[in-house]
This record gives sequence, structure tokens and C-alpha cells, in this order.
Amino acid sequence: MDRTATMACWYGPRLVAFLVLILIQDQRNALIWVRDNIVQFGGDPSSVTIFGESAGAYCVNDHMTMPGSYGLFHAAIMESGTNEGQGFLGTFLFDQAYGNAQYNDVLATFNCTDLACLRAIPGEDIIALGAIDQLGYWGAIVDGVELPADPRDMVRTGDFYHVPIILGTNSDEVPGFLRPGATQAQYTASLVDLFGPQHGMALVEVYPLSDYEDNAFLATQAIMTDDVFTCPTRRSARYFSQYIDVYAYWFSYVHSAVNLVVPFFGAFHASELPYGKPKKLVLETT
Amino acid sequence: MNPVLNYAVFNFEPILFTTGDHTMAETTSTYWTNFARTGNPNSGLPVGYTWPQFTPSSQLYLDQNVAPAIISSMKPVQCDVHDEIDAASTATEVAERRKRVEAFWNAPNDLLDRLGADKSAKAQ
Repeated sequence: MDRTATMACWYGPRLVAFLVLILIQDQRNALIWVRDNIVQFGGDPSSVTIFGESAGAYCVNDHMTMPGSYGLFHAAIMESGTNEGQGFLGTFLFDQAYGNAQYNDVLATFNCTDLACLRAIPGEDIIALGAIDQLGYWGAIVDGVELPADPRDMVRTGDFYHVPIILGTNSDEVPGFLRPGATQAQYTASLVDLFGPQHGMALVEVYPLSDYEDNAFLATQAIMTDDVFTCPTRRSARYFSQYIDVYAYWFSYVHSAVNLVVPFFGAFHASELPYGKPKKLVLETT
Repeated sequence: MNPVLNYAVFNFEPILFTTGDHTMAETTSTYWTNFARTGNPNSGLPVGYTWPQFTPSSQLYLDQNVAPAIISSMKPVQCDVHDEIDAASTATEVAERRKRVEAFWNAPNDLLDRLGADKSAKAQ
């Protein structure tokens, strides 16, 4: 089991080499174990595929842009999570200033001023800070050690670990945020509110309510699905495919029981997982 | 996230598999397995439908469904707008926006109420 959130993504002046991105280092240790031992189980250490979904997909992407992981795998599958999604470790990519501020927030939360003080705090109290509403989002920091540069720039310039990839997303990843009966005026106002006047109006134009049965839930479902998943994946595929073999998918199948009971869920986030389990698999992470 | 939705999303494992579900399990796991073995989802075990490679010049997607199909262009008009928004936003702005959307899921009426929604629409 790898560590997540607070325990994984800590960044602070004195923590750089130790705790940053521990989650990735945990996974890397598993890959090293596979390399060294899989032959005992009939496996081939020169043919390792990693795959992950959602936060797991961001982790897979991390291994492709973190030189410490290069050479430990030979193909990668990213389901619903890609390099251009501004997201890493299931959350977001931040700069060092953000990391420093977050570290200081952690210190202040426990009335600490240094790491020695923090070490005396029970681990579960620190883990509890990883809840999404505490101290903002947790994410990977471009620390210059594990992550040499912004991974989006690295992929755009070909500076990443070149292996073939599958990547893709589902047709209804993110639930809509308006009720079905919201009016056109409410629909427009909510998008302007969220995205600002210029971009909000542009979205109203390319996602007319009439394309979604005049149902504001379905329309906002499409907008957020595309904003968080569909379009970042399109960008990622465009950049990756300049350097490596890319197979892209759009998973639109709605499970029969879902279709019967809650059809508006559609092909929701993670709903492809029951089908995609490889018949022979080395490492999975979600 | 709403606890019920949370459960549905993250603990979803189908109990009742229909023919369509079995087809999806067979085709998807075959592509994945072939890819793990050869780096190409079409090579190895036979596949019923060839998954074309995505290249900079032909940006093809496989529509994974019971009747697979090729998607030749992924939401071109919409994604151009989202790409513009992405280019114009800082990472922190994107994070804040998504955080607010998540807040709507936890209390989905908040936004409508703030926008002066008709209370009678709540039942919908």
C-alpha cells in the first residue's frame, strides 16, 4: 500500500530529499522488487507494464517524468488521468512557493516552528490533514530532485521516459453540478460565475442546453467531464504521440445495471475498471 | 462528495453481468493484455476490431463499446474552448475551480440558491 496525501506530498525546506513524493518512491520500491524477484514467479523483468486509473493514472504519468523510475517498466496505461490535466497524485501540480506555504500551514496547525516539533505529532493527526478541505489541495511539487521540471513542459519537449502508452477517458466522468430543471439563465450565470465572463459565455455557446435535452445536469456533466478529463487527454495524446506509440480510447459503454437504475450516471469515473483488468498483470495502482 | 455517490463511484463492481458486459470484459481485457505483452493492443490474442494508433496527423480514438468504432476527432469545438481556458488559467485557479465544483456536489442546491433559483425546482 502506498502512502497518499499528507504523508506523500509534503514539501518543505528541510523535507526535500526525504518526504517529497514518498508515494512515488513507495511505488518505485515495488517496481524494483518486481525487477529483482519476478523471475522467481515466472515473470519477465524486461516486460513490465504499469497501469493506473484516476490518481493511479497520474502516478503512472509521474513515473514517466521522474528519472528515478526510468527503466523499471516498459509500457504504461493511464485510465482517466493524464499529463495535461494539471493533476498529479490525484490532485494538482504546484510550484515550490505553494509547497512552502503549505508546509508552513502544517507547522502552524500544530503550533510548531520546526520539523523536530512536527515529528512528535501522532501520524494519524497529520494524515487527517490530507482531507480535501484541510489546508487546500495536496499535490506534487516540482522539487528539482524527483521531478526535474514541470512535467507538462517535459512531455511537450520529449524529455520523458519513452515507452508505448494507452490512455483514455470515460464519456461521463464528472457528475453535473446543476439540477436538471435549472433554467437557461441559471445555466449561463453558473458558468460565468465559475469560468469568468469570457470563457463562461464561450462554454454556453459550444454546450447549448438544447444539445442536452434542456437538462442542466447533463450539460454541466459534459462540461466538467471535458474540462477535467476529455480535453486534457486530447492535449496529452497530441504531445505524447510526437515521441512514442499512443493508443487512445473513449469508453462510452454504460453497464447494464447502471443503465437500468441510474442511466444519468452514464459511463462514470472508474466504471471501466471491471472490464479492463488485464489477463496477466504485474502492477496495478488506483 | 455525496457518500452515496462516493460509494457508487469508488466501490463499483458489477454483480449482474449481461451479454454486453461480458463482451466488454472480453474485448477490453484482450486489448490490455496484448498491449502489456507486445506494446500494441492489436498484437497477440485475436481482436475483433483493430484499434488504430493515435498519431499527430491522424488523431484517432477507439470508442470502447459493445460495437466499437473509430472517433476521428475528439469534441473538436468544445475542446478548443477548454484548451483556451487551460492556457489562460494558473494551476491554482484550476484547482480552485474544481474545488468549487466539488462543493456543489456536497450541497448541490447552494449554487442555484445563490443564483435565485426557484425553490419548487428542487424536487427535480
